[in-house]
Amino acid sequence: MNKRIQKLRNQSLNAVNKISHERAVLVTEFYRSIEGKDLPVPIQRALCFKYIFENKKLCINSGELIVGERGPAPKETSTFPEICLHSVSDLDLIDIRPKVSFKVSDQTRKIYEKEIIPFWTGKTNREKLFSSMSPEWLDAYEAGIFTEFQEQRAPGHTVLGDVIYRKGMLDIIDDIDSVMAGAVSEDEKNELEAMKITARALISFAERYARLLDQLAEKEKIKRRKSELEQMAEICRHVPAHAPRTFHEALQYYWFVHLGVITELNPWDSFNPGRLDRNLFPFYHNEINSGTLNRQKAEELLQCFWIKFNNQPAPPKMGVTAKESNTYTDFALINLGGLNTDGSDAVNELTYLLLDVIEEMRLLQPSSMIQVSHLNPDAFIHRALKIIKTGFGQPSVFNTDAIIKELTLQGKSLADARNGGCSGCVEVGAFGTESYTLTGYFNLPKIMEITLNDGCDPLTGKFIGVRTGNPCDFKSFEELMNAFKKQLFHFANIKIEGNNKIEKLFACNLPVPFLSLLTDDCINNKKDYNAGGARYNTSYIQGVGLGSLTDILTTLKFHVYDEKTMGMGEILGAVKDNFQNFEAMRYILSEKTPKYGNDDDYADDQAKLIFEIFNDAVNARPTYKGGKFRINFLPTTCHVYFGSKTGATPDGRLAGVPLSEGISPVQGADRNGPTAVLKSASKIDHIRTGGTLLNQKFSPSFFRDEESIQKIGYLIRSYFRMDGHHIQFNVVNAETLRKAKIHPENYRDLIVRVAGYSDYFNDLGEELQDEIIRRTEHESAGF
Amino acid sequence: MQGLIFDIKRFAVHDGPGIRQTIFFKGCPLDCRWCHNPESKKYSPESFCLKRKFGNHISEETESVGRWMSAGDIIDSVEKDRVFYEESGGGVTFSGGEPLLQTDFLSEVIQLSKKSGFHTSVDTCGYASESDLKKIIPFTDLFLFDVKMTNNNKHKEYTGVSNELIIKNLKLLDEIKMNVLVRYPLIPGVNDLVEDIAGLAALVSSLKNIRTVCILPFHRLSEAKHKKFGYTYRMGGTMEPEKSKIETVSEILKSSGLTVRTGS
Repeated sequence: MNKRIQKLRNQSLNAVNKISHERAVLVTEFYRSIEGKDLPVPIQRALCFKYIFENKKLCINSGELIVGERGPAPKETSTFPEICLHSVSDLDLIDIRPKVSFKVSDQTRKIYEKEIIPFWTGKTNREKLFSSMSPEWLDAYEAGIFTEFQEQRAPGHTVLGDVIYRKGMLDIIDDIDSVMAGAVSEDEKNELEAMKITARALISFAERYARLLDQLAEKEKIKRRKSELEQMAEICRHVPAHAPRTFHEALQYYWFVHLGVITELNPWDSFNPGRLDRNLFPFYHNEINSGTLNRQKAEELLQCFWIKFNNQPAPPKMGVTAKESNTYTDFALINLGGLNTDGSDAVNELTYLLLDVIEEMRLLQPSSMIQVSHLNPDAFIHRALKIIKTGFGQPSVFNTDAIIKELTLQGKSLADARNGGCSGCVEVGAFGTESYTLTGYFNLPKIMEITLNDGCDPLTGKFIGVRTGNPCDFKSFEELMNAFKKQLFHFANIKIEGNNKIEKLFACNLPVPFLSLLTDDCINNKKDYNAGGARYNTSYIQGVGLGSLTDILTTLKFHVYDEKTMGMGEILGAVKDNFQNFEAMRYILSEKTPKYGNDDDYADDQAKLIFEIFNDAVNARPTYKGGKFRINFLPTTCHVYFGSKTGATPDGRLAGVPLSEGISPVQGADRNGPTAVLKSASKIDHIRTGGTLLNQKFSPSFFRDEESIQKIGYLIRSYFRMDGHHIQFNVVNAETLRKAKIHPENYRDLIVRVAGYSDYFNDLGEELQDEIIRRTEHESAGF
Repeated sequence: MQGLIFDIKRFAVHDGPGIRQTIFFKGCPLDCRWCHNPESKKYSPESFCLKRKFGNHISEETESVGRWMSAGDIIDSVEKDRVFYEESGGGVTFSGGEPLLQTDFLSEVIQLSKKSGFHTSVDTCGYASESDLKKIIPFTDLFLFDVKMTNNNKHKEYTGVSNELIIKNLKLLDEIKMNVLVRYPLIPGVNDLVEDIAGLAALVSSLKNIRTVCILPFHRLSEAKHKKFGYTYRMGGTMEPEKSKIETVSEILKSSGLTVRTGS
């Protein structure tokens, strides 16, 4: 990396995470200014968008080639009071908390106290959301049965297709006008008008940058930089108004659009350029051929682009949201490889250049992944594995063929499916045509705990489930499963009912005209993204603790019903006691009982049962927006939070200990090596999910030479042949991790794979640090 | 018929091409001082009383090493990872102990493996009768053939047997153009002198077809295992060979026209 990039990268790494009050102040000023005016909601939102982009501070970092920050400077992070209002004590906590903190200045505190808090109290979406939930919903939420993603963030996970590489905002405005020329209702007209306002606002925002760049160019003494600034000004005059002509313009255009989406609201998982190698390749190819770009220059531009992502941490989270996703990462997941629309191999020269960039930049953001189809070359996997080998957890590896099957099963066209991929951690989506929203994590083992207590939460003594009988009276494993099924349906119904109310809140109060104009077919449908305007609409409930619950059920099946070595009452007594006086029993339950992750059907059959029950409860049920509910399996950091809300379990797990993550086995329960884990994990039907997450941990020795890397490549191909959706690797040894825990100051750059994403080891909570050390240790001991 | 097996390892990546499953036969005619698997030597099941600590709970239990299995049992286990062999060009490796110590069983299971379409490797110390060796040759895709020392006196001292039969068998496999990888455990103070390596180079380069030597550097990882099962660790003073040493050895072999690979 050259000096320019080193400087920008260091600026990004060293920037302190701060809360910026800029957006909160502008939004508040705007809403004050329209008090008493009867403006339609979409118009309000669009004018608010416009007001922010007309008035926000511009930022041009020294030496950078791509401009624009969400806040006034790198890592100065906006807040979204219309969604979720921070109190003064929230700000204090965010300021000083040991992990994922943001500095809060006295000025920000004062402005919040005087301006923001008084105006927004009682008006935020979060307050509306909680006040519209049923008592049953609130009880289940409190108990840690599920979480709610839209509590502090707007519906997100969305990924851009290729529209901006074909059309400028002016072209899109023309499209809107031609739709408006037809028959439209008043509501539709407002929505379309709102889209146009935001499109024009983004053009004006770029023009503001063009003017500032002109001024800087005028003053600039160094000739080379002067011409760069002039060129950048020209670019900002051309995009986003018009379709991009060059590689540089395409990147700058995307970046303006990205800022638009993450400023309009705070969508969960920010926004994402998706298939970057595919989308940028025509520009790269043309310019390389015409001689206006070389590989080096393209690399430098991409590196500048990468730094822009790293400058935008996820907006500060509080409470349960902070626990379920405790990270600065905002999950923009760059997709590489996969297939073209016509079904051919999409890996190109730029794919490899992007992998070089990922390796060299070694930044937390953006996240990256490779899509591997049976049509993609081995060289592509091997190149990616050499980056994974360095232990920074990126890129993660996805099965394109499974993604396409998953999407087409959900009813997407083959072309839309091939243009899709994954965002966030592992969530499948049709890029540019789908609104897919994750609605919250769902604590599967906790529901079993409630089942074993006849509807009661033993942690609080509160009755929150349904009466399914005393488990000691169950005559068979089937009776136990029936009881579990009733409880699960009960909670899934509560969650789905809540989700539909929340979708309605966003549809009515918080439309996103800007995101809508980027997503097909919102314009043609004359409908907002948040109201079902997209071609496809999907809402997910994310199952957590599949491995833990499988082991719990297997334990009961094995000891109580099949082998009859222990009674249900006996086990539940020990569980209630948190095994304090039952160490010998806990040893048997933990060590001498079949476990998921060993390619043992006796245990793995329970994973299939759980999958079917969860799927039956959720799959294809209608959403408010006119879409369908689906399931997937990923945890971010929620398995730690859910573990803290779940008492001891019959598989020998102690109270409060993290649950298993994704579809991975319980930490340390797999003893037959990776092929057995992959076999177990592939027994559930991945194709009927919207994504599964499997974590594999290897010591660096498994990647030591070409031959070893090749064998890891075969492992991936095998898993994918069994329809596995995703696999990620953690390559670091336990000793290094232990050292890092004791001397964090020496390991600032240590990035590890957590669950669906990578994070700085130092930023992880202690429990999660310990879990990753355990995970890693187990691996080293096993091989 | 049944064979005595002491371990089965899935995802074996160092015992032949691709991803493999390695079947460890119990019982060995040699008594190598550096043996990494002390529990593999005896051709009979063994029981060890082990203490396991689990939280505050200490459990005393008997761990038996060595399980009688039928060829069908083994194929069932190998079959589980078929998808991985198909993708990687891998298969099954018979190791030990010494698989040829149970030739009839090995012959049965290796024939069954071929019938099931698996690539087969036999990891052997080479100390077997010619007739035993010939029983498995038609069904073996690759021999991983250990040559421990060319100096017979030293061979007797460190392994308890003469190397004459071993070298004869190696030549036999070479004559009939079997696919053979010679494996040389490099043990400091035992077989790492220039003359040891020269002897190895002379032996292998005298062969007609076999051209590849794989150096397996000594490691101390089995010390803990010796302790666990109550065996005396006989390599107490020996350290792992230095990288430069491995490179020197590799250079000597290469200068004799051999292909050299390093690693387990």
